[in-house]
Amino acid sequence: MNARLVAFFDSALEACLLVLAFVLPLAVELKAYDPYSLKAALLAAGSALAAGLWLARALEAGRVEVPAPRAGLAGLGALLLVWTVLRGGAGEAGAVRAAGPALFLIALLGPGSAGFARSLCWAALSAAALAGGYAVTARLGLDPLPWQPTAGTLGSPGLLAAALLAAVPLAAPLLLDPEAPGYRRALAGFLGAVCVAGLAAAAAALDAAALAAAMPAKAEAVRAAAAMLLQSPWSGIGAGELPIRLLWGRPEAAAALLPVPPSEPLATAAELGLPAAALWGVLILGSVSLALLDARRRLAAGDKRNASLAGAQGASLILLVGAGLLTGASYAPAPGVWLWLLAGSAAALALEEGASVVRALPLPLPPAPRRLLMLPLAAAVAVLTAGPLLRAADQLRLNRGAAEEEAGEGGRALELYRSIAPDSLSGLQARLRGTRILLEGEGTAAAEEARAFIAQAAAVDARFGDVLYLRAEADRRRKAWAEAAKGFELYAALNPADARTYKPLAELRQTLGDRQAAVDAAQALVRLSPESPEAWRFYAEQVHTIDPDAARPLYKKAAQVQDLATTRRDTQLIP
Amino acid sequence: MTRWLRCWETRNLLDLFVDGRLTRDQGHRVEDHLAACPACALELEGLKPLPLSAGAPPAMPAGLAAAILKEFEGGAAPELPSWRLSPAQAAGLAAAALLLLAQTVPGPVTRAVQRPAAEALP
Repeated sequence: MNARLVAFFDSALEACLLVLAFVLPLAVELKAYDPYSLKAALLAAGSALAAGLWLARALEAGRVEVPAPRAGLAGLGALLLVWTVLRGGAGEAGAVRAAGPALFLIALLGPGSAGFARSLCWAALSAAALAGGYAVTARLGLDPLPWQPTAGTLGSPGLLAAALLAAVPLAAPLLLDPEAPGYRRALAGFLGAVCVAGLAAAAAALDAAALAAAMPAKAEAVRAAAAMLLQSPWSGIGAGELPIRLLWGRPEAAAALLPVPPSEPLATAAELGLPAAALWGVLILGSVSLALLDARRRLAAGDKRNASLAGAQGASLILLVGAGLLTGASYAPAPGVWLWLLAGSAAALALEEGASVVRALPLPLPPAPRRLLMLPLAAAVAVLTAGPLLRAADQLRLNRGAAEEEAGEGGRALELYRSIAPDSLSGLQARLRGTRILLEGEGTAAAEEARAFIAQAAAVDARFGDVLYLRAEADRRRKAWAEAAKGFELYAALNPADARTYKPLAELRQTLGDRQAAVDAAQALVRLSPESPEAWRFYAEQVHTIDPDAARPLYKKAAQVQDLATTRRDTQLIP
Repeated sequence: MTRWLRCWETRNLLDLFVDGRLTRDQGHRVEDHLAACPACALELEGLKPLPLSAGAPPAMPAGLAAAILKEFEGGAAPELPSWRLSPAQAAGLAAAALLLLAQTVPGPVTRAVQRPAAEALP
């Protein structure tokens, strides 16, 4: 064992965790203003790198070391990590979910100590102060960068407020540190004050009317998540799947990044099952309890310096858990990484006594083969680190394509969309957008091309966005009537509330000679749009093909609805 | 019944054993192996603490402590290697470099892909 190399891995691991805590709240692709992709990529890549450094240290030392008092908690953390990886944590969306328990374990078994806790407080507080300071300048109209002022570097005022709120308690132990020089304490106080000012700016940016308008969508997301939980309560739908499934059947998925689920515990239960959600609760709430008990014990023993550190970490964790519970904020990469790192650090600090005694798992190999094993490990870390970064590059290409579309350069946008591999979220979105461009073209050739393009997305995830709708539409344009009708029926079965489907479906059924099916489709359209005169007229036309007498009152109804709509419009015009 | 440790397993634990950092069970298992394996016992010999550090510390030369204190009071601080960064300093530098690097990635002129549901957060 080379003690210097082991010390190097220790330092590199600590630095890696601190970089993640500092960079994630601030990482944003400046030109595209993309607050999510870069964060998710850095989190997945950074946690893979941290895991690699931890394993490399174990290989060099010839053993895995588990401090004896932390073994129980580490066992539970390892259980959650393994379950998350087995339930899709190795995939694109799941990697971000698996990063949390991995970072918790690494902080608990690796650098977790009073020194690390203090550095973590500095890293999180400085990042929060920079994000909050930017929000203040934007609020005052002094925005130095062309970013979205209301969203800040966290992507939304809500997430910004949650992060700043959680960072404020972290200033206390640094401000009250009796061993720190005066300028450092003053700096901590200043950073805390900037966080409070940023919090006010974030609160001011929260639009009450927009929040109220978003409540039905949030309630719908809660209902959808609860339905998924009931669908598979023990094993869940898979790590990172919930935001993707919330976009299923939504046409706007082509222009949306992953939404934040309504509540982190609910999301964990829906994605990983109830046992894993219970484990999540035990780990996080256990760390909070340990931190608070540790603060009390240290205070009683007269160790005020570290008592304030433990108390601050506990308070910050409580705020993050509360925000995660009510808004799902801790599901997002930046507050999420703080939650898990602070939990690991707080638990490690609370279980410091006797931690020099370790349970060691020795590797039965001499140094040379152990170092040889570092080569495949380095290769695996390189792949796991490069993968998320390449996916972020795909997302940026998608953004660039969308910008070209806005500028009216559909051809260039299509080229960019084609360059993105289909088996990723960006690839799916690119195919949705690209197919819409192709469907704007005339002729069968364009329709065939659109059909081939959207088929790539359907092969990866047919339920994403309106993939099936677009596939059916492409079939209709290329005059494959039966396939198109089948496609619309499938889409309607999966997304019965999407009114766009029923008119083309009814027309196709008429073309294929199935008049009753056409009437049924038109009736579904009327049920969804009872205030639309066009829908009533269309229904009447379909009924007319079977029974002209029965259609007559329906034409009348269409006229009444038209009158009603006109009256309403005119009434609204009166001041 | 506990498993018998193999040679390389034992050798990879010897420094922890010497420092008394193994749990009692594991310490006993290493002892059992060392009692039966002369090669590993020889390995242990090379790791044992030096006699000087194992016993009572030697007496400090007369006047050394006073001389050190005088140096400090005179303001002559001991020189530290200036190139060495603490993990926190290294992390700060790396973070700043990473943020700068992220911005060098060529991106589109305007933002086009939004995150609508995130804005629904309170």
